[in-house]
Amino acid sequence: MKNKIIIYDPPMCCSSGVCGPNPNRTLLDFQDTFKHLVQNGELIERYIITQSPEKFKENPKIIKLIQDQKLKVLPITTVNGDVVKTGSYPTKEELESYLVIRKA
Amino acid sequence: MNTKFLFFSGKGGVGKTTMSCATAIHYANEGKKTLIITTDPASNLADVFEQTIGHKITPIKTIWNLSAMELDPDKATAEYKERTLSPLRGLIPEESFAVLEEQLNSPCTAEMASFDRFTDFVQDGQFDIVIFDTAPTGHTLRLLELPVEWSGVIEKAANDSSGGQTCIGPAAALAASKAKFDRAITVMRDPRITTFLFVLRPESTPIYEAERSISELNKLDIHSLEIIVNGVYPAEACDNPFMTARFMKQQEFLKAINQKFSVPARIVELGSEEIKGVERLASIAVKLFDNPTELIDYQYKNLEVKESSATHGYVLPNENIKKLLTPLNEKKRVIFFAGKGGVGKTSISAATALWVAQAGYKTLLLTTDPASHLKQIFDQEVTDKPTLVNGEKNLWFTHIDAKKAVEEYKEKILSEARTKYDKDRVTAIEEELNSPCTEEMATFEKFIEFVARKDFEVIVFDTAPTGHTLRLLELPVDWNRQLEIKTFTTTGETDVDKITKSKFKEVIDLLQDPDQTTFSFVMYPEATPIEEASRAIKELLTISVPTSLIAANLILSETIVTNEYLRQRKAMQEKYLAVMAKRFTAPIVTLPLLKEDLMGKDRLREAGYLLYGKLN
Repeated sequence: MKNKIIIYDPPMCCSSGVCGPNPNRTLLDFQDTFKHLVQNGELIERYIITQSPEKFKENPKIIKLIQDQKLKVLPITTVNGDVVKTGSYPTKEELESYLVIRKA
Repeated sequence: MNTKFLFFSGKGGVGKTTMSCATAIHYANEGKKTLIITTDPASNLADVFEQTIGHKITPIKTIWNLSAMELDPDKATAEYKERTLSPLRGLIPEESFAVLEEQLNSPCTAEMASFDRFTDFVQDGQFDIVIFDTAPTGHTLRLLELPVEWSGVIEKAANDSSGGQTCIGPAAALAASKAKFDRAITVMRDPRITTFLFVLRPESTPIYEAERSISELNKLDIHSLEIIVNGVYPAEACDNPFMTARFMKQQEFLKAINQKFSVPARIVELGSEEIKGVERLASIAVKLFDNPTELIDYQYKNLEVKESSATHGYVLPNENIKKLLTPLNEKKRVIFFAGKGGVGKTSISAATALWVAQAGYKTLLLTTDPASHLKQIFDQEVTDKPTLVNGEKNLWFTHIDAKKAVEEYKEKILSEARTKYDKDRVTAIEEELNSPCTEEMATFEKFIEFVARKDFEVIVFDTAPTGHTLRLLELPVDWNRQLEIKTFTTTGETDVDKITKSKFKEVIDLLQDPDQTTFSFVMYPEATPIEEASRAIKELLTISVPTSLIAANLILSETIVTNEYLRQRKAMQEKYLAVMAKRFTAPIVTLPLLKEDLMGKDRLREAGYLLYGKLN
């Protein structure tokens, strides 16, 4: 079975990074990689905290992290529900490695 | 006028609220369960019915069957925020929750939330008649254009491989709304259930605007339209040459309306006293629901003319007023004219700009009002680049063209993107930019750009109607907060953000400094405009922007008061001028009712002298 990756985004207007006073390079790069993986049929999803708060609520680990470290812990990346990265977006290489992690 | 949904449209100040309230009373008295809703941020339904209404369906105490609601964009936003964020309340630290709430304060959220509420009523089943006292022309059209744009955005996002993210929320969450938006459009297009009523005064600008709005609506495939001409002088009031001239002018405009619009039209005369209270509204309803009137030669045969003179004397330039209009300490002076649309803001802005330019300062006149008529005033094309007014050395004028601003804004981002990214990604960015929020951002960028310009000594802004103006002015503060949030989270503050932030800070500082900014309100000396201005002035103070000038327009000169009708109107004006002097701390300048509309530089120059005194 394929690994399922979820990225929990910090508060922002939209995920592409173009909808603000200035386009955001980091977000544009990440969006690109993300789209590529979706097109390849990988199980990868992302949710913005201000738009899909119920998704954050579904995973107690996410709520715990925000309780302890506040919003600066975002973005969080999980693989099959386990947290693998916090505080910044995963690189293309990291994302590819998450796809092949075996569950312990 | 006998459909379930009635949308009243037209520039603010033309009597839209009066007409929609009169209609509401008419239907309620007929025994129909009636609801009247205003979407105007500067609503005055409460003043009309003399009771508190607010952001909820409220029964009107004095009228059986009638309810009213003032759709408050701030409250709609708050409700929307609560609905969105409630799953996390209590689960995450309070401080973090506050940041999330703050983030949802973006301009896009407000627009979306208001529209969301608006469409709710379009599917309402509990009322027989639902009347929308809509916001002024430009804003109304944007509101109406939204459903078409949005359902497109949602559809595209849902089919997109990007995971369905759109600027206005994840597609999944909006799927339910799409059906709602679609239904709203269908309802608006069906002539059996919806009528659009244009209220206008027999003057050139409103006719021109109605023409434009009607063609915009036709483009949206909305064709069920009617016209109400309000503020027609009764013949018995026009017994002196001055009033006769205005009367004849109105006759010409009635003729023009008759020729231009092939839709049913009704006439409502200007009363000698203000329309307030249910009884007077009911009497308006009687006039409205009589059969449509023949517009041509209306009352003409009853006209009787007596002799009288009507000349205006000029005052000397007032030094205190002059200080408010000219640069101080080598710094630029920015003058804003706010007030309900239709009170003569554009004319007074133009007269002011000409006065300042002829006093020797390099002046730019700029409009952010999508419904402005600067072109007609100067008889010269207005563009999005400052253009020298024909025959002037110091006066330049321009407008912010929202559609064009969007194109430029998109191009700016895309041209940068093209140098960095491949074609697919540029296309993706382009699609993201086709969201309704982009227009707000783009117009705002233009606004900032002009405010920050250093090549003019004086900039006069003929601003958009009150509610919208305030939002525009609050934006710098809002976006500044948005950028501060970014520094809270790990998205990080980039160098570009820092530049943007300092640019916004500069604008806010300028707006808050009375040595550089003169915020002025234009109004008629009548109850509703005074109330509205007071509210707006208070709201501006919450962002620390003081109001330093008040202009009272259409004042009847003593010399033309030749009959009982005019005496009553003059007495009403005197009463309200006294109220204004008491209510406002800023100095008040007045402009008399003039024989002709303020078109062309000669008339503008005279208006400038009448307002601020004669220049040497």
